[in-house]
Amino acid sequence: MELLENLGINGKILLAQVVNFFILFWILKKFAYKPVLNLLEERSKKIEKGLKDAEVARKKLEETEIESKKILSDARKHSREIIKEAEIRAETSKREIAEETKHKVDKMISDAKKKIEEEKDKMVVEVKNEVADLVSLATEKVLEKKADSEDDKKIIKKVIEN
Amino acid sequence: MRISAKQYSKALYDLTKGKDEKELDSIVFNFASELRRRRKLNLSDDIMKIFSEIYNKENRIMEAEIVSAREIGNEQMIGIKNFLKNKYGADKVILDPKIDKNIKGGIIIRMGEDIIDGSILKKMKKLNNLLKNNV
Repeated sequence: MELLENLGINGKILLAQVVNFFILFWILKKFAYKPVLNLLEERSKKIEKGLKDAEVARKKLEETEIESKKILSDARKHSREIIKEAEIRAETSKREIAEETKHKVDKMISDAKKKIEEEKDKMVVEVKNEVADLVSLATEKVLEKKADSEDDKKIIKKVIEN
Repeated sequence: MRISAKQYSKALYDLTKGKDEKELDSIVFNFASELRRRRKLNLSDDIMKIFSEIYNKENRIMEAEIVSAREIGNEQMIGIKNFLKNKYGADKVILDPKIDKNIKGGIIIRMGEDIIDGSILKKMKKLNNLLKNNV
């Protein structure tokens, strides 16, 4: 004690300061440190959560990117297949149309030839008939003018003698 | 039983066969009376037609329709009769001459369903067909 006094330290004051210190410490702890600590802790949790969320989001983004790449790749593949298929179909269709057109044209030509042939035959028959009718008519006219009873007699004779 | 015109004709022929003119009158009269009684007078035309056919056949008589464009002289008529007698073995030929200018010339002889067509019309038709089909 004497030593403390010699050093200029008053024991009572020291004690009072110690008490003050604990009181202050308690007050600070009660009203300042705790809310600040809580705030800090809360903030820390928020940051931690934010980081976790960010990580999740990053992972999600990566997954999404991978997935979208896959979808894109699949879509490209699929579209290539579709195009290829369409090309094949178009080619087949083109060939079929060409064949069908050729067939139609061939048939048209054949029909036309047939029709021409028929018309020709018909014309020939008509001409033949007309010639035959004309010859018959001419013969009839000649007979009407020239044939007489004597000719008739000869014809009848020929009938009954044969 | 229903009796046909053919059966009546055959019966009439059997009744009249070998009978003289006097008997014929009586037979025909009785036959007509029987037809009237049986109400079959409507068949008389058919009966007479068939009777005529039977009679001609039994007596080798032939009836022929002669169609010509002009009148045929007697001499040629005799020739036609002889031709038909020879062809069909008939004892007698009765001709029924007809004029039809449409046949143009020649002759058509019809005996029932048998026809000899020696007309110019037929020859012209033949010529016409020949020209149409072969030229």
